[in-house]
Amino acid sequence: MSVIRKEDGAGGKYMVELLKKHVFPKIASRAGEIALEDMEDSSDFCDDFAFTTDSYVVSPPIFRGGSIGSLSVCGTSNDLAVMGAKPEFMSLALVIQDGFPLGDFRRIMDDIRDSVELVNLSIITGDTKVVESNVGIIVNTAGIGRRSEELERNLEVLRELRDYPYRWVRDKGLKEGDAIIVSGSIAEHAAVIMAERMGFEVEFKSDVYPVWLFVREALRRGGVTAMKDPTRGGIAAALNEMAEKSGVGIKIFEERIPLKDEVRGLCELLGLDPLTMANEGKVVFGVHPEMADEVLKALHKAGQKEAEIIGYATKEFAEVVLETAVGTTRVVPQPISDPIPRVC
Amino acid sequence: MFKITVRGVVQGVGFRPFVHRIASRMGLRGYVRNTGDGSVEIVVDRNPEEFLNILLKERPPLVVIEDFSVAKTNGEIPETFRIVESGGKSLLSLPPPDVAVCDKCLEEVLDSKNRRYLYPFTSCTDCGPRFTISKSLPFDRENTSLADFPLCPDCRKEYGDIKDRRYFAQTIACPRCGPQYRFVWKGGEGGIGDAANALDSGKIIAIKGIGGYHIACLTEDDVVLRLRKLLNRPQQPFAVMVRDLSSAERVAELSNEERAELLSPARPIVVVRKKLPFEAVAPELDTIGIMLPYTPLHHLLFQELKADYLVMTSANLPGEPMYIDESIMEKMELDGFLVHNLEIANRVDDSVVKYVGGRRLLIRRSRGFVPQPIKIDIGFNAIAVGAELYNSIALLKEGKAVVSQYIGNTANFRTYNEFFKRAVKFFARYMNLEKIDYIISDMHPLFNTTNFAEKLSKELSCRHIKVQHHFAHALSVMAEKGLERAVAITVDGVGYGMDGKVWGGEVLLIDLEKGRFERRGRLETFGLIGGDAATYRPLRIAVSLLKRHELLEHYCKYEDVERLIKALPLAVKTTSVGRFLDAVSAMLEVCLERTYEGEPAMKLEAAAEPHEVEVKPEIERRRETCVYNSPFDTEGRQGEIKVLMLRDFFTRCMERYLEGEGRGKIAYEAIAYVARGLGEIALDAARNCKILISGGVGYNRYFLREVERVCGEIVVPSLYPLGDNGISLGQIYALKALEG
Ligand SMILES: [Fe+3]
Ligand SMILES: [Mg+2]
Ligand SMILES: [Zn+2]
Ligand SMILES: [Zn+2]
Repeated sequence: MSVIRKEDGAGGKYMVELLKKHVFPKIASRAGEIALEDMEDSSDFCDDFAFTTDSYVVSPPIFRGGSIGSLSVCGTSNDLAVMGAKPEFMSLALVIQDGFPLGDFRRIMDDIRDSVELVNLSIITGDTKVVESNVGIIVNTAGIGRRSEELERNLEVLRELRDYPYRWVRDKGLKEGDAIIVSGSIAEHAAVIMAERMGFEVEFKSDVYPVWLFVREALRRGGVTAMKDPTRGGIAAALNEMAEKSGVGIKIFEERIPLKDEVRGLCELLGLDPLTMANEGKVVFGVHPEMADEVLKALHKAGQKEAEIIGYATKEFAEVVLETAVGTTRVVPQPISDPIPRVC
Repeated sequence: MFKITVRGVVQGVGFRPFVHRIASRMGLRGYVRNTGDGSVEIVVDRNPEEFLNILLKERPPLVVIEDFSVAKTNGEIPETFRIVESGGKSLLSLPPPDVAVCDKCLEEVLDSKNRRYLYPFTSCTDCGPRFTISKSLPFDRENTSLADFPLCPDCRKEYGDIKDRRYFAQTIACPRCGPQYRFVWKGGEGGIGDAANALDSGKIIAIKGIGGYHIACLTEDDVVLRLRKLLNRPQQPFAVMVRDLSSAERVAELSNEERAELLSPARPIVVVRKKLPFEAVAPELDTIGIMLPYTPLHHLLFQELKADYLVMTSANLPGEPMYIDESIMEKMELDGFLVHNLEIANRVDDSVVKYVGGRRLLIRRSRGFVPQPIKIDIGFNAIAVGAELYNSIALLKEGKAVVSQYIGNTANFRTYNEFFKRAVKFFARYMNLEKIDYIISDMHPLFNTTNFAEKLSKELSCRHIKVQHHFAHALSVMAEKGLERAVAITVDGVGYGMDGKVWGGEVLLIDLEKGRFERRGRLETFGLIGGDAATYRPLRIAVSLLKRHELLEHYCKYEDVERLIKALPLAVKTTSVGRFLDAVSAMLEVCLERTYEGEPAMKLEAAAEPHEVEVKPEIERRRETCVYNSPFDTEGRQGEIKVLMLRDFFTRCMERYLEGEGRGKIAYEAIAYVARGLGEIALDAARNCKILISGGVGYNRYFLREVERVCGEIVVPSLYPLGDNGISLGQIYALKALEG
């Protein structure tokens, strides 16, 4: 390989390989419990604060259900929330193409304002550049979250049930028997983007949403052992990362995975696997088996009506395995990039 | 004193007792024993020439002598001739494949005065289970699942008696000491007769055989339809076991070769031309897979049965491995279970053979063929993990490759976890593969087998090589035929290409000596709308092959055509012949939904009416990346390639069909078009080297015939499958590219 390819940045297997080969050997470090090469959603830099950064490129920048504006605020706060940190501060850097429509820009800024209010965080620093290259608009952010009382409560409940040696909710926290919960119906963000690009009219919209608003309810109930927000690579990537880092296998059941019929239909038409498609307002939880029903109830109460226990962690095998509606099983691999046919 | 070393299939075939008998007859002194390297060592005090002559002339049916050597030697000589314990742990001394019951044993089973009368586990040195019961090597009774059944005095006497035909037979058993069958159903327990009665009355039962469970029932329509519901197999053809050869002649048109194949010791399923409709058993097909009884049990069953034909299909859920133990009783809701208490050590499905244009093709290589090795002159130890569907694995050691039994669909987790992974472990231990140099897989990044190979190579810190799918297809045939140079027409469903695109209609030039690996021809690319979904609903492929979308109006009743057209830009690009034929099948309304592997193409073949056609394949020249350094090179260089154009032809076919022309003629023309087109490209690429065919489309008799109309006789494999079941052998042979 002599150049960087598209799939090297797709959030899947190839990106991990790129980072392990060319990035971590040069800059690997840590400030607190979490190191750069742990590849968590955020890192901690002292006992009380978590820190994250993200860049947003999406075409089209305005879509059904939101825009790159709401995406950047929600996305950044979500990376903090799934560590158990309450999102507090953000930076905002804009790279805008010369000639970008002002109307669109105002719409994006409105979305940023609305999302900031919803999450209740502050954007306290920023930067703006206008460039000639064909980028549309790129948003870069950093976010800082504070250790929350909900997190403390979660760890307290959890530690009464078993050892949990981490200070935050970590990807590697899963143990055999833990329930796997998805907070709502999947694949909607990526499906909307696809539909708009291809010119399909659809009823559903992007699920972009700040997950802290329900994550805190789940944590308050307690017993959450692992969390990820399944963005690029979808729940397939999130589950594979959790399984690998935790050293367990995960069994999930197709029938229990919340998925809107319309989304399913579009995916089937376009050859996309909903399990590998991005979400922007969902969380995959690992929960101690004794607390699973309680946490599920808390999520329902917090407005996540479609939240569902979709499976469990197991020691029987090391893969993520899906049982289909007809009872056969298949491996859900770590996604790579675009789907590739495999049926002979 | 002389030492004679004999190599070949010489274990578990009654070779040592046979040697003993000749030596005793000639009054020789000496001994015979299995050596560590898989050969048999014979020491005699005199007369080696005469001894060898008799040895070669009278050898038992299962013995294969590949080569032998004679040398002078010194040492102690026993007073008489003896069979000596096997020498050390054998390296590559494989047992022969499982063998159908021989005539002599069958005679005993049917003779009311014989002590093995009606005994279903009767076997001898010439017949019976081998690989299916073999747990480790050498093939001695204590290393098989028969170790659970100590010999009774009568059997021990036969085993030790040089004059008895069961002298030294490892699988010896009788009603007193051997395994037993029993029939279990809701009403209670019984014997083989009760099972036969249940079958005759229309019940569906499971039968434990030597390599796994079958599900059996009558071939009557209503029974078969119930079976289809039960197994969730709406259309897939079932194999039929027929009472005897004359019943087989009633079912189907048989050639001499097919007759011989049905009667061969391997007793495979043979796919033959139907004479009776058997519409429920093999819907909309002109062929049917039949086999003859191959265990004493099958014969005893037919003794009691009124019916002459039984559906006999592997007992499994679609894509899953066949059941081999009593867990089937909880998992499958059947009317009864004919079970026995001998453990099946290795799961082995029935093999499937098809004769095309008088030539023998293997569709599935399993029972009766495994673990026969093939000589491959490569000095590495290696494991090849195959592709994904129709998987097999192959192991290389001491210049011999052993291809495993049919493993099946490794995309299915149970097949992958409980069959594939175990097979790798089993064969590595079985063949005592201590040091492994290479693990070889397909290039497809999402195959479980590829990921498995990657992990295993890290664990063992050996190299992982990914061989391109179609090069592996071609190399598989070259391995069987011992070719160093060939042009290959590789035609199948899908395979991951060097360029990350989906290939499947390729003309490849391979020269192992010069290190040339070139893609010389391909189909025009077209789109799979919805990726794999297009494979299940092939009309989606037709959309992308059309020049005039208004023709699609006729097909609106099947698909939302407008949405499909809109989705076209995202369709996955492919050059697959299999998918092209699927599209033709859908376009001609022969098959619009695939419920089993190969269904649209098989039904297209059945619907096609062969006739003299005049098609002029449209071929264009392009410059693109098509020259590679090896079958695992992904970079490549630019070169010239010929592209067989499809869209004009396909559109014209659809116009003619919609104008009312018969589908049979068009179906045949479409097959002829791609066959001749690729044939022309191959002929042009093959300057003084052979042309071969590989890939599943090669099973299509019209495709093969039309290729040969252009190319003359081409090379077709007969010992290893054309389809993905043969890929693992090609992956092994790809190591040749490293040697040169
Ligand atoms: Fe293939
Ligand atoms: Mg996390
Ligand atoms: Zn026999
Ligand atoms: Zn006995």
